[in-house]
Amino acid sequence: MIGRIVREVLLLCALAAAPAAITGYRELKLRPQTPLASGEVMLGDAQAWGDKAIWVDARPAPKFERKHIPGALSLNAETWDAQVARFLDAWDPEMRVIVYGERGDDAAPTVALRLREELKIPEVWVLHDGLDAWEGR
Amino acid sequence: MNPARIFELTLRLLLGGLLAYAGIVKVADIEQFFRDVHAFNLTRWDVSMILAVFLPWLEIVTGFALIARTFYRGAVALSGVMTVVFIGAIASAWWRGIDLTCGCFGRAVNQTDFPRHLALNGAMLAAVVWLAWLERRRA
Amino acid sequence: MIIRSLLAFLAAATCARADLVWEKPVQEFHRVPDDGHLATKFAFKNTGPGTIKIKRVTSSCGCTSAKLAKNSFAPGESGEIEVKFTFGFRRGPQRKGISVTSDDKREWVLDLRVFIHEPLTLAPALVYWRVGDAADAKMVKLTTPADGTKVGVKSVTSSDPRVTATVQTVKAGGEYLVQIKPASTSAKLAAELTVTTDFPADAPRSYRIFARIK
Repeated sequence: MIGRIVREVLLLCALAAAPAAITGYRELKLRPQTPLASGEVMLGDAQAWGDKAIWVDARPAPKFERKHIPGALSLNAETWDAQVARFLDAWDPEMRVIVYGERGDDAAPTVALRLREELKIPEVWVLHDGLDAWEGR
Repeated sequence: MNPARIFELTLRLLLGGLLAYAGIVKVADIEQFFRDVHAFNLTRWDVSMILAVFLPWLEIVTGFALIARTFYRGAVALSGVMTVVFIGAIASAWWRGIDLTCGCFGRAVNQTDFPRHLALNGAMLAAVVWLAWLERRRA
Repeated sequence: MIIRSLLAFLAAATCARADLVWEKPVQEFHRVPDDGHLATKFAFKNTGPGTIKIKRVTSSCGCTSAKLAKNSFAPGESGEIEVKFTFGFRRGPQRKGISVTSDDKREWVLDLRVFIHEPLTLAPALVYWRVGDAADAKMVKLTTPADGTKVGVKSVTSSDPRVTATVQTVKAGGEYLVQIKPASTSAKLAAELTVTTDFPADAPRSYRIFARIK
């Protein structure tokens, strides 16, 4: 009986897979790039800055702990007061700051805004599409 | 038809109809469903996309299979699995304080109605279990 | 600087090429926490040859709601998106992106910037010198928001004796000037200056100014 159930489950999945593939292809093909906003930088350009750049993760702590761009510092709105001193220790006026969050999220632009307005740090950029760009999508 | 049969029929049509309807609504706006899946913060961007594309069709196919009583046992099993996974995801989001309406963190301003979501899926799971039991008895 | 201007120009050029032209796609506001929320409108006009149907208007967060009266705009027609942002417990600079998608998958992103001011604003909150620079004093301006709150600065103390700070009252309860000076810039240094105030009376807040020699 289990065998029959498994077979039927697989069959239903296969039946669903065909229209799903078509919808999926259409969805991805017709999806244009989100426009590059002012103050944003594409991943390729940001990586070209090499070690003249300092990477900042603007996402909440649990997400940072799970995964982050190697070498990035955590600096987010929730724990700003506790983290900003550490950021300033690592920062150098010669460096460009690259703040990243997630695609479509406000965390990175908010942190970038605060760095520019409150601390008047000269070169602050937001990574276009954030960590999602890094993960290769 | 005896009352037991009528009851089983009603349950089957309701559950199947609900599933198929849910799937159709999602297929109409895959982009929005993708955001909803990604808001759970359980999957990577590309995995969320695969789920957003596949799950609605699975719901539609399973829903219709329940209604038409074809591949029936598989359909009941699939409905059960999907509902359990969904309950798990919602409970996990509630636990982590994620606002499913926007994916932000912060319990103070969370706008998601977790009890309602869990109750609805709980009822669906109960229906699935009942149908499974009825089918078992028939065998 | 040049690159940033070029990017801004490119971004503007892209918007001009697409058919919806926004009056003010970036809006900035200054508020105090007691205001609770902010409501504004983003006006646009369809300058293209065809009708534009707006499929979706979303903000990246539930705290910001965005509404559109109708979806379809004929060539030459204008419209506006009503946006309401609820502050909650947020403070400081806030940026909310509102994304507008049309039926034919074009996308525009509106930028809402709200500065929810603490009782005292420090401008800037960071002063720095490079090793070898002239050890000139740098000024930090402390101001209160326009709603009439009076914040008195009681003292400014330095975490490192090599960096000294003196306070000058420009307007009692309203504006102060802090002069920060390092003894010398021959070596790297990290210091914090703590500004103690008398507001709010039941739990007076202090603020930090960061001083660095890099």
